[in-house]
Amino acid sequence: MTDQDKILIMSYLDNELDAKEISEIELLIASDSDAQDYLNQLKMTNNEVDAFFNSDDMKLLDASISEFVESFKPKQAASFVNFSNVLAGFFTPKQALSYSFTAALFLVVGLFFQDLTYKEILFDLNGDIYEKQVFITRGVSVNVGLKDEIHAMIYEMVQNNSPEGNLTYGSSVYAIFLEDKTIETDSLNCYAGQYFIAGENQEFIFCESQQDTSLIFIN
Amino acid sequence: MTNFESMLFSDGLRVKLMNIAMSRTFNRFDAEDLVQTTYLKAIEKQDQFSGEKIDPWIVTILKNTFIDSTRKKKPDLPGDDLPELTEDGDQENTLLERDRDMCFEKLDEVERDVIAMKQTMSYKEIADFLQIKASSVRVKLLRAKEKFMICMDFDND
Repeated sequence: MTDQDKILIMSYLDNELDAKEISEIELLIASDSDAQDYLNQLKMTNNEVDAFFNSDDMKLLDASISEFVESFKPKQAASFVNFSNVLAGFFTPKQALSYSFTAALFLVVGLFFQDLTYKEILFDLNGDIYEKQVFITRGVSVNVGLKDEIHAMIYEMVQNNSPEGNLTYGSSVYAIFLEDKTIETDSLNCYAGQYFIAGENQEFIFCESQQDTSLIFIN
Repeated sequence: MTNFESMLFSDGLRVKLMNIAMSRTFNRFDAEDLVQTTYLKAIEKQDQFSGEKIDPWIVTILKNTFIDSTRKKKPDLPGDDLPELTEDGDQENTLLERDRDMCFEKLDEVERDVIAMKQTMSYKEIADFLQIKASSVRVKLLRAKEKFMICMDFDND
């Protein structure tokens, strides 16, 4: 087997060959035991490489970086776009209809800017462990009902000022932790956390406004 | 959002940065610091961005940031690289993961980069990114995988 054959086998596994090359390499693999062995060795290699880039650590990293990027977007929009536009408007006579109008713009943008400027958000839940038990009734889909129950449980934990909770759902116990407050404004509060069941964890973001709540599973 | 911010905050770029950061640091927390610092530096230096392809520009920032951080970082204490003690059932997986990380660490930076990039990019995209021929990408990738394969002892199975 030549180096060129090896490259073609690797490209075959990476879906980088055209139809003609695929036919040629499949013929080689079918007729050459060395090529077959090399294909299997490369498959094992690819599995381990994929495992490295899809490990639990990578999933946790993705969740934290996504959260970082998402939280950054509105702040940048406020500081880089609006403020420079307003400055440009102020010093351009044609666009300044009146000083009072410009002053009003400054006031509005100033308030908006202040609202989105970074400030440390303190984690404010410090109550006791919240306990709840839910009995599963016949005819109810377990998976459909579960997310609603976890959603309700987290809402009740926040209302009760509890960073930790145990939800007994049927015979399973879900240990739920609210670990960080990610957004805090007059109209919206969000918490990041995770729950554990049988050694597995599920990360989530829970948000509540005055009218609504939401629960997003991350990993 | 500006055009710069749209490119900077795209999902594709985020995954690329994460993969390369992880392939350099081998540690989620260091990788997280590295990627976040890279984003902050990119925003700070956005005036220096030429406006064409953002990926090579920001990956260069990431690599330079990593080099700076390794210069500043204190050497690990003896025993820091020992595997954590786990339940018996997890021991085999932990050792396999340790072998995998060790073999990955034995690759040079270009080999690791090519493997990390292949997770999200085609051979042609990698070639454009590294400004080399696609045929050279294939050779580099094959050499990297063979080195990893031999280290993991897959070539004797």
